[in-house]
Amino acid sequence: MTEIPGTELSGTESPSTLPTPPAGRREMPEWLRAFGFRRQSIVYVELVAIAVFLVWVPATFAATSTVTGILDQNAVTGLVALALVVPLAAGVFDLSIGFALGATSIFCAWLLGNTSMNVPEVVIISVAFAAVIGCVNGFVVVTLRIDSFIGTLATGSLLQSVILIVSGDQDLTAGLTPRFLRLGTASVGHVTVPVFVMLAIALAIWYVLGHTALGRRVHATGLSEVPAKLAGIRTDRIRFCSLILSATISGIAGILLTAIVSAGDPTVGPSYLIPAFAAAFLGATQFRDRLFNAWGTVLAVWLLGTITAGLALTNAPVWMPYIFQGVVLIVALSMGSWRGRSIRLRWPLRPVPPGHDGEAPDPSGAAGLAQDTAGI
Amino acid sequence: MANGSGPRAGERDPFIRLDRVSKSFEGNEVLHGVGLSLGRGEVHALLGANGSGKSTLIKIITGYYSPSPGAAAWVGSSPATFTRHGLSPSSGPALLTRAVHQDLGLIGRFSAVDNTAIITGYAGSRALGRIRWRRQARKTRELLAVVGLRDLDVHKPIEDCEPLQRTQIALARALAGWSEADGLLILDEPTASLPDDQVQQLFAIIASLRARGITVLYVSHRLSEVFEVADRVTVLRAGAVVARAPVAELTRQTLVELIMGAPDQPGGSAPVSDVRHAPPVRRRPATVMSVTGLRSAKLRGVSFELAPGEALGFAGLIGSGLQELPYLLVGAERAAGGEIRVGQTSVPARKMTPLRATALGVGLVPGERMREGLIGSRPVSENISLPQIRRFQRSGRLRRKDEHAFGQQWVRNLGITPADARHEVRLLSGGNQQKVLLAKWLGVSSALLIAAEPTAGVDVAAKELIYAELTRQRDLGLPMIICSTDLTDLVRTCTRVIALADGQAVAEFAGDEISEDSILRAVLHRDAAQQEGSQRP
Repeated sequence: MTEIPGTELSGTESPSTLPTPPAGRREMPEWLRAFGFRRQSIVYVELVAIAVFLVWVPATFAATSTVTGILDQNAVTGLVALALVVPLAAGVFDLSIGFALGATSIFCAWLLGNTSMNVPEVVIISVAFAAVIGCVNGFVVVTLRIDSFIGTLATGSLLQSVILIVSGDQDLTAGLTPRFLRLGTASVGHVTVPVFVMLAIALAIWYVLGHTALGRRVHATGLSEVPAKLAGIRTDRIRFCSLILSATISGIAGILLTAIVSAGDPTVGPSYLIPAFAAAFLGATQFRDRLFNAWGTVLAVWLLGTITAGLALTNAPVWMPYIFQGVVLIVALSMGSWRGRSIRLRWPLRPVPPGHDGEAPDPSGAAGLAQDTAGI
Repeated sequence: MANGSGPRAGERDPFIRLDRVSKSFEGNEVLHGVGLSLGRGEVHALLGANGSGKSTLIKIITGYYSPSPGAAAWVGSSPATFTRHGLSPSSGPALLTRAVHQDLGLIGRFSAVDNTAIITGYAGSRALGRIRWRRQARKTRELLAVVGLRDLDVHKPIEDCEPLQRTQIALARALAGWSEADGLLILDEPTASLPDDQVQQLFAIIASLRARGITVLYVSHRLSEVFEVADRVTVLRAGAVVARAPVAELTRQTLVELIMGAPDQPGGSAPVSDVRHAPPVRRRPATVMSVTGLRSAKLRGVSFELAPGEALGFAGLIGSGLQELPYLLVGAERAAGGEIRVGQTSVPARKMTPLRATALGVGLVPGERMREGLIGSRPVSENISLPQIRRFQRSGRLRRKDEHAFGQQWVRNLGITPADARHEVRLLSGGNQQKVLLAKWLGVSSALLIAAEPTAGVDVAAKELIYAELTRQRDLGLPMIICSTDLTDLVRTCTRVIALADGQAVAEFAGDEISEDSILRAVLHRDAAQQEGSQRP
């Protein structure tokens, strides 16, 4: 290929001088803005919740066991919520994750009770099983082009039948060796293994989605598919893989759950779906980018977990936690600049570039007029 | 049909008359005191080139825009005012103004019943607002019969209907609740989405409407159609009326000259001088891109070569295949056949994908800015970096600072305001968004740049900047292909222009031959010749 001039702008090593940072702004420093309520509302709401419970039930709430309890009890929910983050970022729903969790949990318990495999083999095969579930989802949603919302609901229904076939609608407890159960109960400094697994996966998702080119492609796919495609991104492949990943992470959650409750419980899966969605969407309101992200999701899980645990200590009626969860979600989602219209524009310290005092141009207005006058 | 009807009463006793209609957008006057008079029951063609003010005038009549002060209107003999719902006469029956736009405005997944009822309202119901489907279907059939559409399954989604049937449904809908003589029907490029063999049938329908005394304002740039359907013609050029005449007194040649301005008349067509500044193209033996026999639903074997340093333009009417061409070249739409060679690499057109195109250094600036080009909720820098995002990843980590610096550099190079690459694209004006889009693709286009409608929906100043950047890149040696229905784009940026009609290249212009006039002539004449060559009953 011939050397073509005129592309001197196209490289990062362009001869032009690098831009100077824009100066003379009314703007909070970046580190300070990072603590703004708009970006981290969950942290503040969490602090308020903790303060409330400290006043309400000081004796029981202010204990190490409360903290570790909240962490332990929400590790599986956290994993399922993290599993959702990836397909949501890529613009697909995965409503089958609860069933994928349940199916893998049962499958793993069945392997332990009916084969002579050792624990690592069981774990590996169960994870592979979960990945196969993800492939089925990918086939249905991406290859068959069925809308992901209904497509994964359908595969979820199939998984429910798998759960019932394998379990015979019974708890599977046979063959759960102590060595296997340690997956759920072994702890480092009062914090159990599942919490570390969740944190490790959160770390991985955070890094890939936020700090790699791959992550950028995933977000571009989810935000606007046509420009992503035209930019050379294989959006189908990304969506397919995101569904494999979500099922696999749910499967890992299922294995851990089996170890935590010492049984393969055929009824347990679907109950994780709603808290996981809540946490993933709440998490997407956090941090600068307002995209689906790992740490926001983890924080959201912990917030909802704190409320549930705290209310349990106050002997509140059983319906109370649901009210709180619902209210917190609605409030956080409405304030947390979800797609950021109102709050963003009203925020007083919003950077206002000189000579452009807030006349946010309306693309349908000015552009529309110009187009009309030019139209043939 | 028009030629035999003789002079009509329109000029002396107009049904609708407009006078001194002007309109400015942001200080640019696009209509300069235009007058229009329509006789009762005539088909009146409104003609003009791109940007002549046709659309603006129509939108003033339908009430979408209000005219500048000083405009006057009469309906019959009573003065009328411009309102949001169209012209409103001070006395006498209200004037019904209905328009059928080029895209028809129908909902593809809905049936004919729903598409009409959504405008006319559903048939009266009793308890619980239940729709009385049988009555509704009967009503729809009656409406459709008016435009000669009889045996249609009115419950079928209209996306499964023939193009002509869809046009008929849109017409029927526009004519709902119409009492003959008190209305104006505006047809805006009604044949643009029709295959040739159905155009004649539409003309028959229009003739039958005219026979019923319906006044039609017919907008088109296909001249042959005008001679078939219209009684009289008003020609706009650069926002002013240049001719008003019965069709029978005109020839195709005079009409073309009226639309474009006489060829030797200075200022008749838009300035064409800029392209002369282009350095002479040095023909090197190598070609940057060569396309052979590119075929698709619309294209019927298009071949061309692009030489280094060349800016090759494509012109054509809607439906000529022009809209598809740029997408086919990068594989965003699937071709039916042909071969695309970029540099030394040859790819069957069917196997081309956007990923391959970017890898070959071919970037496409797509036509629909926000739908196809940009992610509105993300910052400028991320939009610009997206096609080459991998470049900003080093040892497994995305270097956001590099990415931002890259975006910032483009922001400064193209004068994007606000001058901060961190701004979300949706907050920018249309012209600045277009610059971001240009930057995004200039960044990847190491071999060549393809642009589809590069100045659609941007203001004059932004247009100039885009031209300046395109010509600058061209002069720096970046080859480009520009596909545009706005002939100014081509005249201002291209060193060679190929006119497409009916899926084929029909004419080619280079250097001094390139002018809006010559290109439009090629495109229109081809269209005309085609109509004559295939007369249908």
